[in-house]
Amino acid sequence: MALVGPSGTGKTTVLRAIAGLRAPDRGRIALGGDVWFDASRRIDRPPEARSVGLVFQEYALFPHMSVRANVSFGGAARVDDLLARLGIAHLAAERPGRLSGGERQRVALARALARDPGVLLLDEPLSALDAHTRAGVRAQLQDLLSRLGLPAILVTHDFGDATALADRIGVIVDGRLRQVAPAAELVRHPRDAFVASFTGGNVLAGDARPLPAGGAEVRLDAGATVRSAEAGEGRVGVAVYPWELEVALEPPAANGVNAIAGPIAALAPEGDRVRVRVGALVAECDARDAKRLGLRRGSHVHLLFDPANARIVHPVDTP
Amino acid sequence: MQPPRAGAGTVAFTGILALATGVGLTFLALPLVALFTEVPIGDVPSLLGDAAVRDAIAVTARTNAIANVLIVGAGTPVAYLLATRSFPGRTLAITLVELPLVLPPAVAGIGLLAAFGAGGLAGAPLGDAGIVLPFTEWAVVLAVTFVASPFYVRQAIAAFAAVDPAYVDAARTLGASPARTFARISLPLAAAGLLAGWVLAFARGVGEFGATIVFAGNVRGETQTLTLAIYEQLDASFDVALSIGILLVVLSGSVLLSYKLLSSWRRSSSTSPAPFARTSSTSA
Repeated sequence: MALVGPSGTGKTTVLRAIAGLRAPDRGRIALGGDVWFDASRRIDRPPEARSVGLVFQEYALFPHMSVRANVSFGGAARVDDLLARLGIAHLAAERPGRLSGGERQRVALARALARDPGVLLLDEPLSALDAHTRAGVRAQLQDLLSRLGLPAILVTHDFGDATALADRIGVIVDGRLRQVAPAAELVRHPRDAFVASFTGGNVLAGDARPLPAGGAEVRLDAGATVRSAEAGEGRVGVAVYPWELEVALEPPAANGVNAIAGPIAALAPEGDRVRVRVGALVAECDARDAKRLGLRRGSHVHLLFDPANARIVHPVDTP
Repeated sequence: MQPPRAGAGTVAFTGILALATGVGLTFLALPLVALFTEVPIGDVPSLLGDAAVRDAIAVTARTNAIANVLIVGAGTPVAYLLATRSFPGRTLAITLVELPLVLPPAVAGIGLLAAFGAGGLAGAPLGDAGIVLPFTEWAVVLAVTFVASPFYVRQAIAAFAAVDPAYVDAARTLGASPARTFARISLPLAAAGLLAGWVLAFARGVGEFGATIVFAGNVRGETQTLTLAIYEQLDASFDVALSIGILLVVLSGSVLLSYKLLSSWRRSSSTSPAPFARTSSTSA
């Protein structure tokens, strides 16, 4: 399970509340049948009486203790096993100050696991790392989490990290959980414009009017009119993902396919894909197709998409 | 013409700084040099063998040992509470802790006398219980504790406050009780700062004069500490007074030096900060 959302929206606060470092105003926190917090019943167990392992954002390794002493602080029984499993046995005598970011994270994980917790909490587990070590550490963390078979809640501001590390993703904004679903479901049916744009989608604001045959027609603020297979009326957002947009030099032959035309404002290659921006809309196409079409900055193109992919979402006024 | 004039200005300014520094350092060093030149250094051991000096050394050692135990023993939990919890009246409590720093020592002495003297606020019930404090060795202990404690407590508050709360939180989520967290995390991480505070309090305690002479008097073998002995020996034997001065300079100097050596060794061998130079200037 991952909680994603922009910085300062209360993701870390949720973890601190679960760990018992901060008491929520109301609500209930329980692991299985074990109630840790219940505002109405005035239950508030201290952190040491909750079966949690919390990995802090900057890892918070005790600087005055060796790696071994850090790990055994939580529980001495499984220290050697954990050091070996996380591949840090050779660092046992080192002080945290001498370790790399990835090594620190493994020590922090070993320490959190030493207590044999019922749930593992990870606060921005990858944000303290350099870009070039990040991918490797993410893969290691992925393997570890799947091997552990332990419920884990991780907090991140990066949707890519969340999809890589979690089965279910909760999108949290301004302290409210907007939507909880598997990553594919969030993309297929984003509940609102924020979820759509956070998961990588384009969101276009406009005014919708229902069509007699079903679906809706949306007059976009940017000018064009598009059709959606989904119902909607009044102010809405239309969400469409870059990989659902087709880049074409000619307008669509068939009626009923949405098209937004304009000059290419920017071209950004990403591996064997190219991201093409027209106005506020970003499309993604195969690098070979881009070459075949002779796309360059300023080329006049049509971005085509199926009304089935034009999802109607609640609008969010983004500043 | 412009660059040479600017250069001359810079040289003049640097000259003024150097002159002021030279005058200042000479002024600070002169009394120390004089102590060692006014009396033949070979005579110092025999002068310190004087019975009055031996008594004063014993009184100073006993009273300061007890006072330092009281200061560190009671001051550490006080500082930890003030540094890590917020509660109404916290600012007032911190101000009270710091008050002896600015209070004239003689005022501290007369205050202690008013509080613990016969018929005083605390003195009356103590007297009923058969405990009389003024003009006893315990009065010296109280005077030293009162005057020297803020040097330790202030530094200790800063040291505990500098411990990253994430370490404390981490210890709690790893199953440590608040008491174990204090002993294993906060105390070791604040140790360098606590030691710096203790050095300052120790030096201030050994040098205590004003509060002691008012509250405890100047009775040889009972309340006469080394500083009070200097005062008395001014009339009896100037050389003995100078010898005591040399003893105290060597003591303070070696405490400061050993602390500095210790802290630089700690800095190079561990990650915990050793803040003497940085914090002593703000607290002394």
